[in-house]
Amino acid sequence: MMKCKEYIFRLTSGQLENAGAMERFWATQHRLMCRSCRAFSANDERLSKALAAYRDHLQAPSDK
Amino acid sequence: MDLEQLAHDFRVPMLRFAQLHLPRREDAEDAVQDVLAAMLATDWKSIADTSIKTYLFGILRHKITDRLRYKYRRELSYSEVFEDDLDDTLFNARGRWADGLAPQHWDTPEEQLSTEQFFAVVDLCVNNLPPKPARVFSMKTFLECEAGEICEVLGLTQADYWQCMSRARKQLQLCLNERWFGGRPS
Repeated sequence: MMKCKEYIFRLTSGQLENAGAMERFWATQHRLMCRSCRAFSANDERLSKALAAYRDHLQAPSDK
Repeated sequence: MDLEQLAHDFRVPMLRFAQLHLPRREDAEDAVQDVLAAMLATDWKSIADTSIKTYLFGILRHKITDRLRYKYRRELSYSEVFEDDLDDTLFNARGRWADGLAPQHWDTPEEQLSTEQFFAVVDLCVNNLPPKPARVFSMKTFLECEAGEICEVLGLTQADYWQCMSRARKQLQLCLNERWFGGRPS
């Protein structure tokens, strides 16, 4: 069974995006059972959106 | 196309963006100068107004990765990335969240995440990352490079890449939790 440390590493390293069906299955099972990892995963999704907005902010032209 | 106006509008944002990736200011300035020089040689009739930002930052991306490839590739040893192992703090010996450090759901409204104040906090957290994970992370997230290209440019193994990305995302979540979301670990 996947532990929190392993699940979080696979999520944050990006490995889950390209993982095979079996690994994704175990990751999903872990997330369903672990409230803390569910919270971390949801926060990580918001982090991605926040970083995309930050990137756009960085690239915005200077005030005219 | 008013090139002077274009340079005025984009020089500072491009410099700020380049400095995220290139620690030496003169390298960041050189990269931006290269983009400005490319602007002079551009056939602007073929570029729509709405694509100007994408076009300029696309050139800048190449100028930055060129410098990373040739000037920064072997500057740092990736084996020394993790002198402080964040995982030893976050997790116990059984691989579960350490007592008092389990994350809690961020529940700030979405609109608060596009304010100047929030971006200032993101900026602070990004700039607090250790240099090596920061470089990998910023190439992936802000330059939008693929993992293979990042490994090739910086001379990393896939395992190094995963370690750097994981470290950066974990640390950023902790930092934002502490400085913005006011989250207290459970």
